[in-house]
Amino acid sequence: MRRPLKTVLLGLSCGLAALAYLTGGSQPNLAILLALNLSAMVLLAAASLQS
Amino acid sequence: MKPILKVKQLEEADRLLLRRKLSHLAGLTYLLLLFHASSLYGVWKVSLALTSFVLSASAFYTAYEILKVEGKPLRRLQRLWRLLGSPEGETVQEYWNACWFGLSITLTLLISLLLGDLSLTYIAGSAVILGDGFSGLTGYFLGKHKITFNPSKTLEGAVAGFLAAFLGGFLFTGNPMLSLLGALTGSAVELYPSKLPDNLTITLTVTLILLLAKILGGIFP
Repeated sequence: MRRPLKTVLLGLSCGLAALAYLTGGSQPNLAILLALNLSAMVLLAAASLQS
Repeated sequence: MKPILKVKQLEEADRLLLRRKLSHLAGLTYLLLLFHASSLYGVWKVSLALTSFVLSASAFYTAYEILKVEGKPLRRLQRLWRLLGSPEGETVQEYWNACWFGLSITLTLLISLLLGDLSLTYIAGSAVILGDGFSGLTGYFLGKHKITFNPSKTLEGAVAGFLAAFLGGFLFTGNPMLSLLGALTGSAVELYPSKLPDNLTITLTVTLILLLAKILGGIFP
């Protein structure tokens, strides 16, 4: 995969994870799970794009 | 019409599709577990268990796919996936549908938990599991009238999928309006010709529409 695309996907993954954590508010455990799930989805999208 | 009841006479491709759709319908276990185990162990514990399972299984599956592409496939697992209806082994190609299915339904579950309303999960889950499963099975084995804008789908499949999604959503939530909205949205996304995995598009679109209904329409109790 090209380096810019990798960087964008990694950035998007981290951004979504941070957003999920911030919107979790009073439920940090739930927010961490949401962040993990979103990151997994972004990485899966990257894997699908690559194949 | 293909002889659906005489499984032995079905061609290999038909049998593979039948197994794939039945495996897809087995995803109903996710919703049933959530529905029944929540009352015994609490929603949070069950959701945590389901989310952990999906994330671990996705990681494991990804490792399997990497090994396969590297030319070191795990043969036993490959046979198991084929038994479950995946076209594994025909080409060295990656299949991510199972991961999309698990991760999207889990995302909906986590959003539902944030909002404190599990109706979203039950309705979106019914749309993707029952709607997609039954429309595929009915369309492939009994479908005759093709949809003009998407010839790979049939009217019979669309109707069966809509009814199954509506019934599933209604039985889980008891809310006819939301179930109808979810089933209609799911069927519309299913019929729309798209290259994206429908396990992802159906679940996320239904979740988004139900969220909008919650915010704007006040359909939610």
